[in-house]
Amino acid sequence: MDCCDPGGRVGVRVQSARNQSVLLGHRGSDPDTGESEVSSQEIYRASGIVRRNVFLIRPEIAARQITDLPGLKSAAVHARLPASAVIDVTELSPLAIVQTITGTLWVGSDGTRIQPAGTPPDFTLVEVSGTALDGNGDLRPIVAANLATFRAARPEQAASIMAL
Amino acid sequence: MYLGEEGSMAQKLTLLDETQRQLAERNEPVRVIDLRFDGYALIR
Repeated sequence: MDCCDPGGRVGVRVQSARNQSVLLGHRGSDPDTGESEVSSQEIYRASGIVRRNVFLIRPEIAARQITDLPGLKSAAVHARLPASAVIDVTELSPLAIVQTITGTLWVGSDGTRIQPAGTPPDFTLVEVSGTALDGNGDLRPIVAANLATFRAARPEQAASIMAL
Repeated sequence: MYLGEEGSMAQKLTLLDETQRQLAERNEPVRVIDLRFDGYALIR
């Protein structure tokens, strides 16, 4: 953000580590919409720093509020004088939808459950053996690793339903 | 398709390619891919 606001209110740049898009907002207006799965407007609003004085921003609190949004792995908020803030977010990368007897869940690349957000992964794992998930309901690491390897090596076959 | 969780996935993929190639040479369709076991029991 190049501009400053004499009133001391912040503009925001939201930068996504996932797709390297840089989004700019100006003096309390909403940032532009980028290509990230979680919109910059959502991130901006969740941060709680909209039209706040830069001296009143608590970066760790804002970051915590942002990471409560589905689809985000982490966030860092940097308040900058005279009147700007930079929000860096890392988005979760969904690996697959896991279909179990009781329902469906999304898992990230490490196999842990994530909240559904954005575009659904085009890959479904049907859990038929009852052994793919651990006690926490996450995909066991070896299964997640095999899944990721197969998906990367055979994307055309990975699009079809798989079972354990 | 069964993913399986044992053994090396890279080795399984190599074996899968070889088995699929052999089936293609015989013009036989692939019906089930089973990666749950080590060895050559990959397609049945």
